[in-house]
Amino acid sequence: MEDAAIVELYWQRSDTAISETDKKYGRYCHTIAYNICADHEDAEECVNDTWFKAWNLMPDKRPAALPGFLGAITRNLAINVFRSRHRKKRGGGETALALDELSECIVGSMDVAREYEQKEFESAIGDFVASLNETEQKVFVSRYYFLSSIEEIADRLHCTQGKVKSILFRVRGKLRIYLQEEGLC
Amino acid sequence: MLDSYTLLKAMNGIHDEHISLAMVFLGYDEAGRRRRRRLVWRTVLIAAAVAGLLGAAAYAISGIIHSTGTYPMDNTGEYRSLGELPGIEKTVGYDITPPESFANGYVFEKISVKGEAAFDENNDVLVGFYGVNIEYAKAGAQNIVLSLAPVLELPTAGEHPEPTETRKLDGVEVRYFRDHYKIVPEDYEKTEADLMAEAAGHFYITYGPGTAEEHDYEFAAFVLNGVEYVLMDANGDGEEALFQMASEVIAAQH
Repeated sequence: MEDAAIVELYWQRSDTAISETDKKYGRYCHTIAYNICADHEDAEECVNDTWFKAWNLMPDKRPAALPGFLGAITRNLAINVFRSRHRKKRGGGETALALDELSECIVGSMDVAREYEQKEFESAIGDFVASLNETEQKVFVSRYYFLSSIEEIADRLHCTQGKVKSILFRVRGKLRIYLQEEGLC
Repeated sequence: MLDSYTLLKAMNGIHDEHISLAMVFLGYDEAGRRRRRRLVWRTVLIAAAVAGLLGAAAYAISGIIHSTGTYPMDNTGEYRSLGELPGIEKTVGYDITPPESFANGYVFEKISVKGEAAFDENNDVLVGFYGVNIEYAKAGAQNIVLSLAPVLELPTAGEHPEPTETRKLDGVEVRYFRDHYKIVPEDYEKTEADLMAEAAGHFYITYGPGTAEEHDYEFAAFVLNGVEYVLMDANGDGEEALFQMASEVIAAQH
C-alpha cells in the first residue's frame, strides 16, 4: 500500500492503519529499535509503541515521508529504553559506542547556560549533514541514525574498518566545530 | 542541555533525502526491508550438520538459505591479540585454533568477530550465528583472511559450485577455488557478457556502492569439527601456496 494511503487510514481512524503500517514498516522499525536496544523484546515493544504514538499523532500530523516519521518515533522510544536500561551501568553494543563517540562533539555542555529545544538541535543536525559530501553522509547517517556497526559500514563501503573510523572521526570533528559555531555547545 | 543522548536523538533532524541515501547504502529497499546480497559460493558451502554448535534454536529452524549477511549480535568486535581467543570462543560457541604465522611469511595481525545470519527467500532470518575473520599480514601483500563460521543444518538454494581443484590433506578434503569477482553498484544491470561468464562458472557479481571494479580471488575451503574454514587470498599466490597454508591450519588443530 502507498504511504499516502496508509496516512489516510490514520486520518480516517481506520483499524487497518496499524496493521498496514506494521506490514510495510514493521521490519524497518524493528531493525532501527534493535540496533539501539540490542534486545528483540525491547525492540518489539518499541515498534508497538511506535504504532500507538503514530495513531495519536495522526491527525493532526500528515507526514510527508512516512518511514522518516515512523523511524524518528522508534528511535526516540528505543533511545529512552536504552537509557533506562543503562542508567546505572553503561552496557555494550553499538549505542553505547555511538554515545561515547558523540560525546567528543560536545564541549562544556554542562556549563551551557541556555537550554535549547530538541527541535533546534534537530534542525542543526539536518543542516550539518546536508553540508557533508555523499560518502560522509552515508557513513555518518548509517552510524548515528541507524546505529549500524563500523563493520557493517566498512562491508558496504568495501573498505577497512579503519577507514570508516577515520571518516567518522573527521566528521565528528566537523560537527564539534559546527555546534560551537552555532552556539549550541 | 546538550549531552550525547540529546545529540543521538537530534539525528532525527536528518533530512529525509539523506536518510534515504543511507537506507540504499545499507541495503534497505523502499519499504524498509533489508535487501541481501546475492548468494555467493561461500554461502553455499555452509551445508552440513552441526546444530549443536548453535544451541537449541538451531534444532527448531527450518527453511532454505537464500542469502547470508551481517546481522546485529552482541559482543562483536576486533582484537589484536590471539590471547583474546578464550573469550572469543566463549562468545562464538566453537573452538578456534589458528596458526600464529604461515611458512610463507604471513603473520597474524588481527581477529574480528562478526554477527551474521542466514536469510530465506523473504529475507526473514533463519538463524543468526557468529563469524570470525582472522587476518594475516605480509609486507607488500594484501592481507590473507582466514574466515570461520559454523556449518549450518540447512539446505541452500542454488547450485553448489565445483571447486577448481580438490585435495585430501591429513584426511581433510580441501577445496580450492580460483574465482573472478565483479563488484558493481546497486543499480547495475548485467550485460550479456556477464551472463555468459556467470554461466561458465567461477565468475560472480556482487553489489556494492561506487563504481564497478573487478578482482581475482583464490580460496581454500574445508570443514573441521563442524566449523567451515575459508582462506581467502587476493594476491595471486597460487594453488600450491593455498593448499600449503590450508595444511598449516589443519596441523594447528592437532
